[in-house]
Amino acid sequence: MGQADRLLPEAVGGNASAFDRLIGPLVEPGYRLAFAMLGIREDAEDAVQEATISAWRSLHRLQDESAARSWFLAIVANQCRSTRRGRWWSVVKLAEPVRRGAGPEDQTVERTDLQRALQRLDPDERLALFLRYYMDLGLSEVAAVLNISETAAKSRIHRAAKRLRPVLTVPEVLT
Amino acid sequence: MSEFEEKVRAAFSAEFAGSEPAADLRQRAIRKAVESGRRPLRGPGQHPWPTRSRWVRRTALAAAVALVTLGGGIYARDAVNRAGTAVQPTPSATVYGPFEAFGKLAAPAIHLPAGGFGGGGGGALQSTGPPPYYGPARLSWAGKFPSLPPTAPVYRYPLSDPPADDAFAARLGAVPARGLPEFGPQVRQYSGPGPFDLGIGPSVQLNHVDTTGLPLFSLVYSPRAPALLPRQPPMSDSQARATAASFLVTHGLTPNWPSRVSVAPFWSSSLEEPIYAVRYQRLVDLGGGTKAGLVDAAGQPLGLRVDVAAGGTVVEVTGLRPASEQPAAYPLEAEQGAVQGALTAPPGQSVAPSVVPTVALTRVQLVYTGVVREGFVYLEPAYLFSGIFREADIPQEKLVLIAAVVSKDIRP
Repeated sequence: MGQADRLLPEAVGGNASAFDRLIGPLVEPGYRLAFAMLGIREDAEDAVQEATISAWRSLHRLQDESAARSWFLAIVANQCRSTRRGRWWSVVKLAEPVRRGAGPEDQTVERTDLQRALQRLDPDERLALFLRYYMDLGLSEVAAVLNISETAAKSRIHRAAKRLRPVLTVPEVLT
Repeated sequence: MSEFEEKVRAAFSAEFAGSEPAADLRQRAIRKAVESGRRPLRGPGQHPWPTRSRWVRRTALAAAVALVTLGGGIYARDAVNRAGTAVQPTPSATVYGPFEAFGKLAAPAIHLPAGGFGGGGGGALQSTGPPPYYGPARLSWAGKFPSLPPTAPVYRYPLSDPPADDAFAARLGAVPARGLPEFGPQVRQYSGPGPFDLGIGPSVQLNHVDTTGLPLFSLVYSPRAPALLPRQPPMSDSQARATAASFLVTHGLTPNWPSRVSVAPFWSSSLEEPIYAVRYQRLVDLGGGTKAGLVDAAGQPLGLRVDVAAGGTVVEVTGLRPASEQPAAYPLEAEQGAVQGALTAPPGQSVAPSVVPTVALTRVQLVYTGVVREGFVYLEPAYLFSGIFREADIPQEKLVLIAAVVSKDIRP
């Protein structure tokens, strides 16, 4: 058994260093996912923090170390959904304009339009696109994070892409 | 990458401009997670809160959890007598019953709960100390051994006693039932009292952290009961304590043994509010001011636990099945033998880390722990050694549990 293969059992056994090596590299991707879902930096950091705690406490449920990324991102996504469901968040935060980061000064009109179009997407469809095209996850990983079948994931990505047609020409996006 | 993919990616990237995560986010997230501690699983392969929350959600936030763990003989004597389940009061420090009456004892063991730890989601108790570590370590002893009496009691009671279970249930006002969704088929099931369901069975069947098979009962706010209102305002520790005490009095479950009471809140994701675990750790009085606390198989306090929802409702009760205990006196291992036993004890978790930590054990306390053997439960004294070390700059506590009874009275 190689050292890499032992990270999971060591982390399950309470080895903090192993946990850091296993999950630590996923914290920033988790933050980006949380930011994409929540749109507010502080909430995204809180969500990924809570997700990391959940991961630590339920690490024994991760059967395969190679699935750590989709497993952790699924926890982050669930945490974000929970945040969005929260009364305080939905009443207060959704009433506020989402404070997206300012784009580059030279961003094109098309990109601005695309950003708006992305923000108008159904959250689940937007998440599917984000996972597939921003995080470069394979279909199986997208499906795992969204807790749906690969077929459903593929369908959701395709549906989301089609909604962007007024902004972009959508070629075959699911190759 | 197609032009479409590039544009989508660029659009998402533009959203992050100016919203990069804090440079130390990874470090903070990992550290906080590890320092948050872990609540041991309540059964192999089962995650306690997701298990609960499935039916909690089904009933629209109908329940949460209150654990009441009762050692044998802990119930208010008058109530127990009404139920016909004779309970021995905790013996005085000088009367422990016949000497070595149970023959050789099985050694207690400490171990990582089956399946690792759980309690994610909303179920993890806030931890006040470093997370426990059960794995291999290079050990040394650098502590001061306490002054202890030469003997201590061992308590024994039957592993199974259906008539006593029925009597206990009847005393609580519960009637036999079947097919309750919150209990497995091997659990004796009862409906009532009031909005609760009662289950009695081996700990592993009740998803308790203890994996030795100690007989437990679990009084759970029924999924069929009216839904609890979520998002109730937090209560103080003293309010939670008072609510728990009132519940115990009402149901005749007030312990009649000495206890150490603490309150540990945890978050219920289903109720979206804190739950307050009011824990009464059973103490055995050994005389001379020495009291030994009961611990579970993971070395964590055990005795009586009442979880109170923020709205003031006690929602689940789980604990050792009440039983008629027999005491017997056994001699305690002295310092030299105890320390030697601790330094050579096998780890409670066999996975070897890449770097085996070096740990100086600096503390030892006499505790009690349950051992199941040949149809009986034994509550035996044990030495719980501990020492704190740092891994990746994060403190952890190495725990070593060994029998406190002299080795000649322990089965090899």
